[in-house]
Amino acid sequence: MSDITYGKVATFNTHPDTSIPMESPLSVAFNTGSVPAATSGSRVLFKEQAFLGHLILRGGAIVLDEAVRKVLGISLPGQPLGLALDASGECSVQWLSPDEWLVIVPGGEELDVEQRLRDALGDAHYAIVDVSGGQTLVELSGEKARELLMKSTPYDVHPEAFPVGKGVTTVFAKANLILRRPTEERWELVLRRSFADYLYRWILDAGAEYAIGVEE
Amino acid sequence: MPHEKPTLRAPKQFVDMQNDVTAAAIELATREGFESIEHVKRYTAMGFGTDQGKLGNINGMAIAARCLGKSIPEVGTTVFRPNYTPVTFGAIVGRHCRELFDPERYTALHQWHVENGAEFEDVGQWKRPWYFPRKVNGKLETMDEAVARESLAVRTGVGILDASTLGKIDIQGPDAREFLGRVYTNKWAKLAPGRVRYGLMCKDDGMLMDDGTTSCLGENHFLMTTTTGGAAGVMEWLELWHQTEWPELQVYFTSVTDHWATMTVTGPDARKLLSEITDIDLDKEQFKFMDWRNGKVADVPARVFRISFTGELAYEINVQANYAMHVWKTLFEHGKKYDLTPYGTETMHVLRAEKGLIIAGQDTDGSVTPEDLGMFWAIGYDKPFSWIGKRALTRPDTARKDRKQFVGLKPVDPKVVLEEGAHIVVDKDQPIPMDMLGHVTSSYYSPNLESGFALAVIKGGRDRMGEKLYVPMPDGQAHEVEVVSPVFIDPKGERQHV
Repeated sequence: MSDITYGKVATFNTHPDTSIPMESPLSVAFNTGSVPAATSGSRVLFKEQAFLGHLILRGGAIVLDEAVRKVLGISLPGQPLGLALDASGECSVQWLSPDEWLVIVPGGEELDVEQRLRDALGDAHYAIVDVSGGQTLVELSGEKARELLMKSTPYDVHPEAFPVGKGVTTVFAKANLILRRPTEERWELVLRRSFADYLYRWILDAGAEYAIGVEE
Repeated sequence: MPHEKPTLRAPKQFVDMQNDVTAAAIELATREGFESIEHVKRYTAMGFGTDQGKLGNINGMAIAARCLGKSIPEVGTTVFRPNYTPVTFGAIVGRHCRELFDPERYTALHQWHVENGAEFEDVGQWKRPWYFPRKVNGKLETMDEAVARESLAVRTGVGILDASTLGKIDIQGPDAREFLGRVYTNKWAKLAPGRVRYGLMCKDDGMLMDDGTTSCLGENHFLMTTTTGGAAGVMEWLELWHQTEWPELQVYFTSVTDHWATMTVTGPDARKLLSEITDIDLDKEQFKFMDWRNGKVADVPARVFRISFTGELAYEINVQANYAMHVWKTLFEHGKKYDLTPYGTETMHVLRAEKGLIIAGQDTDGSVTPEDLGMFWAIGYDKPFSWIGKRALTRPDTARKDRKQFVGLKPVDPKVVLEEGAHIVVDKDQPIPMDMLGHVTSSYYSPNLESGFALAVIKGGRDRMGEKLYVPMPDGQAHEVEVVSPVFIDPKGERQHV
């Protein structure tokens, strides 16, 4: 059974036991669109981190904080627009709204993390939703990455306004995405699956003057 | 403009009509020491209008030249700026042009649709397959031909639709069930895990806003589906009512539209096909209409919902979107012997209309109540807590007997396909303006009925069954139609229960 009834909520293991080819939200773009190679002249680098585990966590910060620390070893970002990573940088928790956080974990671990959070949260009122198939994470780096963002979003991405450890849901071209800054050099975009092709085309166009390169 | 008195004594002598600049003002500018014509422009606002001085500036420059004791060419012109000089739209829209003009949303199966020749329909920002024309004798089918073939395939064999664009909202919390009871018109108190129910959602004015099925995944866990176009609006609607009216209810909503890919396998052969690649018991007693089950489809964990928008036996297979292409292609490998036919939104529309199933936003327009639709079975008048729209349905206006009601229309000439939006009258010879009874909301040719047919809203329509009415056309002719039930095929619903 893929469904496991957890108390009164059904969790779901989305992954097959056998090896089945997966297609990320950017597969169509990579298969059918232009994929400029990264070179030493690329001043913006684009890299998809496909197939990660994405969970939406809903609940009050006071309710969730202890469980998140116990399961992920990360303190829940209590401040709006906060982004917290664990020491390895593989797990992150991002504030999305006053009672909503995005948890990203290595691919395939999402169900285990969800179940351990549910164990830790007991009867509290909260919700955890697996959205791993619905979005993907893209890393932007390179000396002109911020220039590319400035062309694409009305959000202020100046380092004074957008320090490391910040993340926002904002307008990007004519779509929405999550924009975050886990390190000095790297920006991350979380794209919704159905908008991924459009956003990819936009980013390639915006990055053309910086010889944008797509890393495998 | 010339006057025998000096400029300062003469009546106002306007030079630039757009900014009320006078000859006296130009003279004042030069007296103040603004000698460059660009400075004169800024002192007086001469030439700042939309004509950029193309109407009055020549005179203005001549006046400035006279005051400065120069020739007009020596004084020169100001820079003529947009919009006098042309501006490309590109300069205004930036890179928001061509394929970047508006987002195109794709499902996880988009590439397959492209490779298999789909024509696409824009549904909001989504690109949905409209129909899949095949080459017949070297010629590509027209839309009518393709839709006729696809429609027959679903009624006689098996078809498949990419339904991934439907909005999907995960709802969790101890008060999830109570919340559903307040936002839907019908009852949710007894829907058991494993079961699915169709629901109608009204605005507070009692008018239908959206519809869809909601499945009980666990006692405190539901999966709501919405129309493709209504997804974002419904999500906001739920959050609005939760945050502003009922914050005490313990419930959370999360969009999972993009997480799941949805494939609808439907037709008499749907069970045979699906049984080849699933471990789910598809026995009709074990897995009934309006049940959902989980298991594996093509080795991928799936939730399968036995709901039907075609009126045929149907399974909606949901898998995590990253695995969708594998499942879709496996269905086609096994579907070859059943001539599994991919169909698009046009065939979907024909098939649902044959069953009298509405599309919110097409058969309704914000002025139609669930009662107007005749869907009394989906209205929980006696639910313990009130629900959105209930009070509005008790207003005298919503209880009028002559409100426009949802009916079917059958053209007396089966070759006629009525025009959507066309009006319906009793007397085709009445002089214009005619008394309009209602209008056609959906109209198609049905290869299954071998006739045109339509859905419509008509004043007092339910009491007019069997009446002959007319649909006048701009060219003067009028199509005779019979008012019938909106369910044209299988009125008892036996086919979807097999």
